[in-house]
Amino acid sequence: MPSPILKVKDLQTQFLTHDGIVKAVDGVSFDLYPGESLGIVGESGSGKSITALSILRLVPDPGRVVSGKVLFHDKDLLQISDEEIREIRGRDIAMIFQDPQSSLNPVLRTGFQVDEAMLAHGKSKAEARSRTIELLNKVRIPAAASRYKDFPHQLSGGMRQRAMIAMGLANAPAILIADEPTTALDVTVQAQILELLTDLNRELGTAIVMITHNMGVVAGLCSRVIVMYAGQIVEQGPVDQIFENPQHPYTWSLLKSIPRVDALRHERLRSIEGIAPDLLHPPSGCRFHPRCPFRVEKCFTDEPLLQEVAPGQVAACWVTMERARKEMGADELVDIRPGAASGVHPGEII
Amino acid sequence: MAEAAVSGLPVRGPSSAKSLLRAENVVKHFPAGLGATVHAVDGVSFEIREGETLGLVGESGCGKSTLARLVTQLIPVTSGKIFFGDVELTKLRGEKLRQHRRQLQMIFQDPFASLDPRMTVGDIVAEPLDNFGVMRGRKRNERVQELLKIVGLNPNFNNRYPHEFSGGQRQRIGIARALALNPRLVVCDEAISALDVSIQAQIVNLLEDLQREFKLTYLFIAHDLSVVRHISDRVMVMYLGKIVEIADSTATYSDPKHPYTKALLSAIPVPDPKIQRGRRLVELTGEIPSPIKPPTGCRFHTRCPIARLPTPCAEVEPPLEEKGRDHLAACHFSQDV
Amino acid sequence: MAATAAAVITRPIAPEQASLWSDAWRRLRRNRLALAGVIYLTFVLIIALVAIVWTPYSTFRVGVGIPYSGPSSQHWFGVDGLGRDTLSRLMAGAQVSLIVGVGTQVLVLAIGVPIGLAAGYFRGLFDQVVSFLINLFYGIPDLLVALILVFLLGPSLTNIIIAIAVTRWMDMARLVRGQTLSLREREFVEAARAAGAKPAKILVGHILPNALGPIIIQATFGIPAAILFEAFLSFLGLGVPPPTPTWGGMAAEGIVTIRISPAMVIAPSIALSLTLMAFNFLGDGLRDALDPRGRR
Repeated sequence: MPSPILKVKDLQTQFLTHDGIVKAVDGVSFDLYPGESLGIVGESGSGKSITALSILRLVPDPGRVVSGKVLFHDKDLLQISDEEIREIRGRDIAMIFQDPQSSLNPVLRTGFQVDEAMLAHGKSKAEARSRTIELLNKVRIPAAASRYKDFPHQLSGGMRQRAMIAMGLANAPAILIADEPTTALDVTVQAQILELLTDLNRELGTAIVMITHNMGVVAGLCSRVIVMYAGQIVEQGPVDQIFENPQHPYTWSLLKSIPRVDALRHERLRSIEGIAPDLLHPPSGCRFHPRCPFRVEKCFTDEPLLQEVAPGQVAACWVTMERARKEMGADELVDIRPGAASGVHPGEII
Repeated sequence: MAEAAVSGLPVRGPSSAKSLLRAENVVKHFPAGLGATVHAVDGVSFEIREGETLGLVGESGCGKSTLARLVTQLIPVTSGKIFFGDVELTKLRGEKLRQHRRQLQMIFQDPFASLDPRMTVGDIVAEPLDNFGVMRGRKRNERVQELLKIVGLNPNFNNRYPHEFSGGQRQRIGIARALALNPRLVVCDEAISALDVSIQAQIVNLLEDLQREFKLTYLFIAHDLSVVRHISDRVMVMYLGKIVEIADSTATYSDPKHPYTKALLSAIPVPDPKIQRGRRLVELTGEIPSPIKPPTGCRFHTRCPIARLPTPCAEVEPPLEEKGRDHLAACHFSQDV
Repeated sequence: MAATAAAVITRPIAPEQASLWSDAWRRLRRNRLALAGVIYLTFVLIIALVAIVWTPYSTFRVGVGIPYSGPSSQHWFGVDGLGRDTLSRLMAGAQVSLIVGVGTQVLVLAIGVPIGLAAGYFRGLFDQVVSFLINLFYGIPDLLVALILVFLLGPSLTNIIIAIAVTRWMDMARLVRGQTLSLREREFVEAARAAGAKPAKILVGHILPNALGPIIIQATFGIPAAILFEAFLSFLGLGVPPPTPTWGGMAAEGIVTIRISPAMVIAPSIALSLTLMAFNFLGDGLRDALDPRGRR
């Protein structure tokens, strides 16, 4: 088993707002292995994007990485100098973002912007230009040589995102972090981009960290997945296991709340009640407890730690789905939360 | 319809239900400067049946948002007719049209932009009532509280402002507003797209419950086909201003009769690794053409995997016609799909 | 009651922020310069109000002091050429400045806001005519318009206000038109139309309240501009006729004898400058406070 190329240890990133401190990332630890595709999935406020930005020290004001280690080839990225981290960005670890429209400079030609990624790391103009055309071909932009001269607005959304990917891969980085790269794209284009990323991951051996809220994307692209909620990791493990047998009630509920296009019959969606957690005043104990259908007394007071629930799979829960099934009949869904009308929600029984 | 019976939903026969809204050859062109026109909606005919949820899906440039605004007459048609019940909506102007708005309401996409930030929640929800002078004073306030409760919000929220609420809560406020006048048809224009995944399920369930309770008819527009499949009875697929397929939701997904529908379905990621890895993506060549210069003949021919060029696909526009029981598609070669 | 009431959500997420205005007020309070401006302007207002009933000496009776004498214990800012107490005249002059400043803006709002709303919302021929008029008025030099109007209507406080307002209504109309153009595309306006609101209701109930911020800021900056314009007119001898004291007029009277009695010019000039600065600080502060995307 090769050793990880990236080790994130106990990362803590906070935002100092005048309403108080927002713990956007609160004790996140994970490893990334060479060439693997890791998914980080969560909803708004989960901290997934900030985690990625923290790795490259790109957290915007008023955010600060307050503690933790990010070890890349045994160098702590959080401790090295500004000069060194700038070297690493774009060369060893690259990042692409959600909206290619705003990530690309509208007044510069697309090809030139891809060149820039290489010029910043020491290549000559001629080298950069020929490599750019090679890359544009690799990301399947048709007529790459002529597209080189086009401005971003002359390209479609899908092509712009491909150009972004080309930029990201320009210096053959070991890791490519993709923050919701397909969210703003049409479904058919999204599928093409995901296929491209899968192929690139396989051909080039670049590790991909895929940040998304879409479980379907994770299912197709990733081999391992991290589920985040309210700034913490609630579950982690191989994709097949997590989808088949999620142990954290949040993961389980999330999977049950997604309508599936291949569903055979109409089953009422099992929604997660309540609203997203307030990161200024997070709930006591387990952060998910106000919305959790299977909580017990301990969940209100004690914060659960990640524990192994299956080989290679960890979850932070006092109850876990295994127990919820055995003791609470989770599969016949009954809402046991106090305060619900009569303990049973009309229409909520599946 | 065996599936419907199993799921416990009332069985709705294909043509037994009354037509609530009917569109005939609706066209909407926008000027695009320098003499060009955007063919946003280009000859669209369909009906929405009473009590059903008609889903409308398509990607960018297909015209679904424009169609939403045409159905509610927020913008006028360039040509074509829209009937609401027996009334020709497209013939109405001014006050007469305004009066019809009581029956035709809309829920918008952006929960942060569709509520006036300077108005209290109570005033927002009551605005339709105020616009038509329907209720005043105590009755008005009671109705507001009732509406807030119906959508699952604390009725004491009426004095608060929208920015104090989360996206999902704001969307509930928008739904309460849409229901204020007891409309018959509600157009949901990407009503859940801007919400978190777990909140989407809440709102979808709420919409379904409200439909049952208040006998509503929905036109549900979205780009997320999984949700559309879930909530709709019938589904309409649009491409570049035209309808390419209309069928009940089960048939659309199990037996598509248009190559675009099939490609669209293959592109939706399924949250199941084993299944997802085994799926084959139908590759579409090229990009979505510009609605300013739509392709000749069948608009999809430039990207279609089964197109026979040049005849007939690049020359003859396929009509939207019946290919199966209550299943329409606009393709020369539906049998090959 | 619906059987659908799923988890009744009992708590909004931000109960502390009561309204957008109190939020803005809080931000404004923290701006030291704006606060200083407000304090100073309140002070001027009080002085102006007091001057209605009392000034140390009469503002028009001549010979209460030695002409051209400088500041002394009886006359804190000295005495002018006709033997009138400068301080008393300064206090009364504040009235004119404030009345002109606020009065012109009231008129500007009354003309510019409705025109801007209607032009921006209804577009079409009316908008084209309005835009043409706006550009026309911008084309004619302010001073020329003011001179002609004052000449035609006769010099008086009211007519000066009208004259200045006529040269400045376009700023407000253009601003409001621009705001209306962008606000009418917002989704909540569309939602209001979909809910059956009439155009008047949309303009007054939705667009105007959301455009109030920029309107208030514009008006706040318009006040010192008007005051300055009036001072300028007075300086040219075309302002409010004597013996009513105005700061510009006082400076004009004193300029020829500036070497003998500099206080006659300096006092009203400083008063004018401070007042203009105060309004500008306030305007800046308001702009920062009302910007919803302002950084905390």
